[in-house]
Order: sequence, then structure tokens, then C-alpha cells
Amino acid sequence: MSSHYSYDIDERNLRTKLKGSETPYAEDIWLKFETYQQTHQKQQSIDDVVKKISFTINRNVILPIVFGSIIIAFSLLLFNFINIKPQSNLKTVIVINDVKAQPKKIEQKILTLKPKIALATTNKIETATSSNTVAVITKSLIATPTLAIVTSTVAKIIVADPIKTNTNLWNVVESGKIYESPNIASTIVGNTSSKESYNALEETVYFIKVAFINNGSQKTGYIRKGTIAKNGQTPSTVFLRHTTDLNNTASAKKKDKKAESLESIKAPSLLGVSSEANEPELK
Amino acid sequence: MFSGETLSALLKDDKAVQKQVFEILFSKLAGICNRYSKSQAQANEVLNVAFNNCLHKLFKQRQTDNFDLEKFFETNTILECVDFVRAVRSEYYVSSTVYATTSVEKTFDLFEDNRYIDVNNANNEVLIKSLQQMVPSQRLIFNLHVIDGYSLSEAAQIVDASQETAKSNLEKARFNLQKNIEKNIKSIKNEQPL
Repeated sequence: MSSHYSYDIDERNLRTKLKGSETPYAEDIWLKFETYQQTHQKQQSIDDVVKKISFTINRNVILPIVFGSIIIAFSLLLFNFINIKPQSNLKTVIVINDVKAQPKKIEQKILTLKPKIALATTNKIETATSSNTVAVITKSLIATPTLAIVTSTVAKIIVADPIKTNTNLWNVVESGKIYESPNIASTIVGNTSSKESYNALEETVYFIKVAFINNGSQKTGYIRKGTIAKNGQTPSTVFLRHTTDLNNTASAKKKDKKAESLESIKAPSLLGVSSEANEPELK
Repeated sequence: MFSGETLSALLKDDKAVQKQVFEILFSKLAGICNRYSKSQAQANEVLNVAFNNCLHKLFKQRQTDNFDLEKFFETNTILECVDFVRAVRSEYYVSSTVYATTSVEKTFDLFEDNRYIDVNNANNEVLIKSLQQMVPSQRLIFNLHVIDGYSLSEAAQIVDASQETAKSNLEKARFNLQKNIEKNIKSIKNEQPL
């Protein structure tokens, strides 16, 4: 303390004076205390409960627990990103996509055949006439099922847009046969019944390859398109006509077509001329 | 002063006994609160808080044969006052730049009243007012060490400060108290009578 300052207060006297001071009591002071007590009673009970909770754990125990939990949390986070599984256990699955039909190409092929084959083939052998001999003979010799059935009116094969329908599902319209190869002359390996459905594995121009179960074993075979229809479509009328209505088509074509008339040469006896110079020439 | 029956009744949360104890201890507890607070309003608030907390502490207190209820209430009221004042952080952590180096001005004018201001003859109102005008940290240390008889180390521990800080605050408190008493006495003397 500085010499200019002198502390004149008698602290003993001050103590006795201040300790002896009394404040008069009033009733409203107790009422104020009661209101305060009621408002803070709930808060006090909560505070007491909170204060009772005390963890007396040593620092040497808490620190390892805290750091250990942090390390475990980070390792779990890393495990989500890292794959430790061995490669040998992984199975590779090869998915074979079904061959989808290419309707545009088929259309083109059929359209090109149009000018070459004019008439439909028939199983019956027609009687030879002067006008139709050549045509009939050629048909009976050459005609095969694979090249048949194209007319100007039904040359187009209507194929549905594969995107819009279930392209691989074919429904059996009428019962038929399942062939070993896309050829009706091949071995028959099974039969189809109406209201059955098959998924097409492959598709040719006139056949579809399907998988079926015969006598408990799975086999593959070919079904003619005339007896089945794609899901959501009707069978092509070309194939229907070929399989079921062959006679009608032949007779209809017969009616439509007129016989070719060729010039006939009179016989020598009718002419009355027997000279060698007037020998008729074969055309 | 208080019997064991009073104590047991308090422990049973008897409101009538609580009121009785409150009436008996009010003057002492109110005086303590007035010394430690900055104003009368704060003193009333501190009293309610202190008495309520003392009743709650009573339940946890282990009662011995020589358990003094009055001293228990006094001690805990002092501690509650210290906690309350320290809780008002905007007022408590005000830095004081007072240095006890200024000289006491003395006038030698014959025509003025130059009676020596006897600080020891100041009444209680002036003393309490002077205490309330002090900075909170200085007020607490002065009350704890000078008035309530705690040692400087104990007072430093209660206010959660170092002993050097407590010593410095005590010196400043003594200087400020004297200044405040002189100022208040002067102001009382200069007041015009109604």
C-alpha cells in the first residue's frame, strides 16, 4: 500500500456492526418464497436426479475405451468399401440371350421370292392337259415346302413389333408336331397341343426352335409357325392356308387362271397335201 | 436453538415448520444476502434461492448429535450468495483498474465544514450501501475474509481464485470501501432536509 493512503476502517467494529444488523420480517416475504418454491420444485427434482448420476471411472479406463471405439468405428466404415472375399468363390454366370426375330429381314426375303414362284404347290398330281403340261410337271418336281407359299396377296408376313409384345412367347393355336430339325421331313420328336405356350430359342423363316420336356427329359425341337402364333398376335394367314386349306387354294387358283391356249396345227390328212415341202415344223 | 423435532419436521417437508424456521432465521440471512448483493432486489432473490437450496441440502446432510441448524443455514447461505453473484458473469468478470495510491483530500477552508469523516461511526445503511457499490469480486472477498472470518486461502478457494488474486482484490476492496463510505457520508450530509 502507498504511504498516501491510510486505511482508517476498524474492521472489528465493522464486523460486529454488519453481523448485528437485522432486517424486519414481513409476511409477504414468506409468500414470495412460497411462490418461488412451487415454481422451482420440479426443476429441483430433475436437477437432483441429474446430479445423482455420477460416473466414478478412472481416466485410465475411459481413454482406452474412447479411442478403441473411435478406431472400431473407422474400421467398420472402411470395411463397407473394401471387399475381402476370395475370387475363387465367385461364380461366373453366363447368360445366353435368346435369338430374337428380325422381322424386317424376313420380309425382305419373302418379297424377293415373289417373282420367282408364281403358283402354290399341291400334293396332288394334276392330270396332264395340252395347255398345262409343262407347268404341272415343273411344279411336281421342284416343289418343296421350304420354297412354297408365296402369293401376291399374302406375301407379307405380319410380324409384331418385338418391343411392344413378349417376343419370345408363342402360343399353340392348333395341335401339331415338333420336328428334330427345321424340316417336315425330319424326325418327329414330340407333339404340341392347343393352348400351350413355348418360348422361342431360335427362329427361322418357317419354324421356331423351342425347348420342351418329353418323358421327363428336356429336349429341343422345331415347331412350324403355321400352328403357333406369337403372343398377342394371330397366326400368319399364309401358313394357315398352306397347312389346312391346300385344296381350296389350288382349286381357287385353278378357277382364277385360264388355260393357256396354243395354236394347233392341222393334221396332214385334213389338209390334203402330202408333199415333203409342206411338212409342218415343230415349234 | 432448534430442537431435533424441528429438524425431523423439516426433513418431512413440513411447511409450517419451514415457515417458523424462516421467520426465526430471516434477519440474519437477509443481512448476509444484503452484504453480498449489489441491491435490495437482488438480495431478496438470493434469499429465496439460498433458503430453498438449504432445505434441499438438508435432506442429503448427515445429521449428527451436535448438528447446528442455524450455522448450517448461515454457512450454506453464504455459499449460495457467492455462487449467485459469480453466476452473473457479465457483472462478475469486470476488470477493476483501481489502485490504492490516491491521497485523501483535506480542505483547510475555515468557512466549510471540514469535520473529519469518521468512517467507523457510519451507520449500517451507509456501510451496506458502500459494500453494495463495490465490484462483485472485491465485495465477495471482503465479506468472506473480513466480515465472515474465512482465511484468505479459504476465501480464495470459495471464489475459485488464486491466493494472490484474492489478496489483490482484498486490498482494492478495503480502499474502495473507505472511499465509498466517505462518499456516502458526504452525500447524506449534503442532502437537503425535507
